Amino acid sequence: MTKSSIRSPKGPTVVNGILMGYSDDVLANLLTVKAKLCASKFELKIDDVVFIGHPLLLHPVSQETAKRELVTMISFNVVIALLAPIDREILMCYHNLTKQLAIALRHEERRCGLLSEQKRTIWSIQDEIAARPEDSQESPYGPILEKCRLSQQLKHVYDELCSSGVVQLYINKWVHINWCLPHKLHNLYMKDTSHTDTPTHVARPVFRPQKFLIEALRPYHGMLLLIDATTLLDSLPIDASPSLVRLIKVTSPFKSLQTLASDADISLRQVYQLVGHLVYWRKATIIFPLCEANVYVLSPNINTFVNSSLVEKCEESFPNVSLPVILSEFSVPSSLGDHKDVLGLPQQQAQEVQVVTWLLQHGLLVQLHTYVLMTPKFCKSWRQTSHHSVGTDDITDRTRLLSSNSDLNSTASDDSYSLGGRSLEAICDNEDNGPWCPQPEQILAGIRAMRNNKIGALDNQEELTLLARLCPYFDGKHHLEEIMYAENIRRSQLLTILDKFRDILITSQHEDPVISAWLYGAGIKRSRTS
Amino acid sequence: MPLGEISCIFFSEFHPTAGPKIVYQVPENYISKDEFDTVHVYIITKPQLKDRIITIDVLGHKIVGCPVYIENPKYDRNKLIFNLCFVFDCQTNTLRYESVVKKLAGYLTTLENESGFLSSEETKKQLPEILTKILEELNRCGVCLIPIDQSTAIHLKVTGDHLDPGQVHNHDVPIYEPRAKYDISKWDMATQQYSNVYVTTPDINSLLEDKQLQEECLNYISRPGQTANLHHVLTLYCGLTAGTTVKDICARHNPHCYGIDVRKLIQFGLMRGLIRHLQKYPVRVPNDDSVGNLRNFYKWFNGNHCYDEICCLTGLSQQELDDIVENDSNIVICWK
Repeated sequence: MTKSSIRSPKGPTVVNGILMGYSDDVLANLLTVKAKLCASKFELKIDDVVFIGHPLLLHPVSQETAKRELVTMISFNVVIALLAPIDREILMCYHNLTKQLAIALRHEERRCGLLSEQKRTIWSIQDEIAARPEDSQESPYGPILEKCRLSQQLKHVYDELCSSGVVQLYINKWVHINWCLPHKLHNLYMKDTSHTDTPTHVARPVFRPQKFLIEALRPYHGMLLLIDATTLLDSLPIDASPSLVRLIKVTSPFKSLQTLASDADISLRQVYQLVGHLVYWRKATIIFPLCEANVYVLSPNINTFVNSSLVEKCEESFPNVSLPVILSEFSVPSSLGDHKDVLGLPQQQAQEVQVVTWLLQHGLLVQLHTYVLMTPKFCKSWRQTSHHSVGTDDITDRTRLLSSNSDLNSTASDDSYSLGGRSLEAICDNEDNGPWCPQPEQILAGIRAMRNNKIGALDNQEELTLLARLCPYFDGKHHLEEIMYAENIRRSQLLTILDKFRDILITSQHEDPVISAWLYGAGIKRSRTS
Repeated sequence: MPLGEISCIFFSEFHPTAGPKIVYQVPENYISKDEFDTVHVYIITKPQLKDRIITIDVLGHKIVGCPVYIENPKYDRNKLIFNLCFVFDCQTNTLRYESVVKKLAGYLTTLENESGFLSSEETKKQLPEILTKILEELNRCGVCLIPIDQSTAIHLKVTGDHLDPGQVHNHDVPIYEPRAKYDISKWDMATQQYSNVYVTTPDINSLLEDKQLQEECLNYISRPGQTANLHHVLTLYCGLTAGTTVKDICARHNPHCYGIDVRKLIQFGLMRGLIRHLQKYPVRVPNDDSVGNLRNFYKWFNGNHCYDEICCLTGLSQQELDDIVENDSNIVICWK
């Protein structure tokens, strides 16, 4: 039997990288499983330690006793020991690694007897040590690591797990293992830039890469490579998709995914998949394409420590720039346009963009977007009445609206009577039939109610129509850039609407949750108290 | 079987002649003999693993148990080995049941030590009935109380999972959960700091969507005898941006007139993650010239310490700290 136990770095029963409290024979007894448990996930938790592995039978059951050699090696298990509690998704990721390793090892055993050969090496070392006089005996694991290639490769896997979270190697110089723990990759980044020392897979909010990958991406998002494009291209395996190569070659932080799709001549859907892939492996991150109107602010989790390695790294790239000073400048939200010195030389302006790109690559900045909320008092409460029980506030609001409308009606023509009670009913009835798209007249009625009949500059029918068209976006979930993209309108048009109707529209500034998820886990929620 | 519920409870022991076996299980035959034989090494374990909470997740079952060894010459082989296990669907998060399994193992040990409950066939026969009750009651309401004899009863409760709380710093301020019942009116909340800066988080949207949260919020933040409305609440929250203090917001909007208690508004926003506090970190850019009598303070200006922390640990007031910072051109401020 061959077993390897890779140990997680800390915990009550795992001290200094060593799994404590288990003798070799107890572990052997636990992790050497019956044939029935082979070829599927093996998960065992004892107090605070989780063992995750993938046991395999070396040969199909019928051949088990065919060769004499096999009697001594029927099955084997590759197991990783981790500290609990651990998120399920992360655990499954580790399982995937043990499975890849186990399948590779079995392949190599069948191809050239790797396991049998390594087993003989290990046994001879053990015998040799056991044969020594008692006072010169030592643990066999040191000499085994020296002489046994399998041990060395597994140790390499362990070291990579603890340091980078990326495992890439050829087992026995033959089978390629390519695995990463995206949570670790993305959190490691955090660890480097933050001085809080939380165990990476316990306290952090877990982000679920697969769920984010495709569905959260939008055509207006952009991609920012985190490493140099040439280095990235060189690191790709020989059989990498030609589309991926084309995509990387045309990538620029100024381009949207839609532009990238057309520049690289691949479908948007495929761009999403490739981008998702690059982000998963932390070769890229998602941004909104750089432009002057973009507003940036310090990322909440960054390290402002003056002697951090980042300060040096920044100086290497930009000798005349002091990182703390730049960070303090971005402590107050500022746009790329604000930040660019208009009187500066073109080279200086170019450098400003490069600095911002660098800060984004290192996760030091987040972009703030402006979202629009239409106040519930005005319309939201109508929308909600069909989904929730009617609260007293709703009733008050509705009555207030209705009564003020009827005031209006008493002085208005018969035609406008329909703006009152009846149209409100209609709104409520229509709620479940798709998005709520009120007519300009309805909006007008609402605004009149809000403004106590002082309509003022409301005569502009065009603006009202636009407001009505944009209403569905005013739920706080669509930033200005998205609205501009979706409705094909200019920023100035949108800003005019926001200004004209500022008494009913509230704007709020925060980061795009899709983008920030890549920066610090599943949203900012947990970090609120820090 | 709904997710998260106990599917089966079984009592297994090491039989002096037959070896590991399931003696009772409810419902019957849930775990087949074949399945048990495949996994019994994790249930009737080696003595080194006694009293550990062991979960084995294979064959589509998640089995949580705690093997018990009672040593006494009166038993065959000088010991009684048993394990009372809970079985779940393999998707279940079983963490919250671990303490129940452990406690139950303790009850059975005590019962055996005091009255030979498990070694007497007469009393042991009660087990299926007890196990059925435990299964039903825990699945129904998460709590059970089962009288065994006049002086003993089994009390069990499934507790929720809790993440460990975050680290508490000297400059942190306690705040009371409004959902818990405290009479906070008598507490002196010396936390009112109008110079603080807060920003909204993406979760601010939940105020628009979540009717219950809306009501909770309006109840919490309204001044006595007044009812604030959501429009004003949202206007105030969204007015919180980097570079704007609470004082500025008050000057701009006059929340008093809207019937809003600003202090409570901020508290509620923080507790529900609608807003977060921006801390002020003074950073002294490395430089040779230093002002002699201030050198002691420089260690606080390395970017790892925020204003609240520095003031709390040095006894400086915010104003005094401001003065030091403003008079040193090498110190910059980062807000995060």
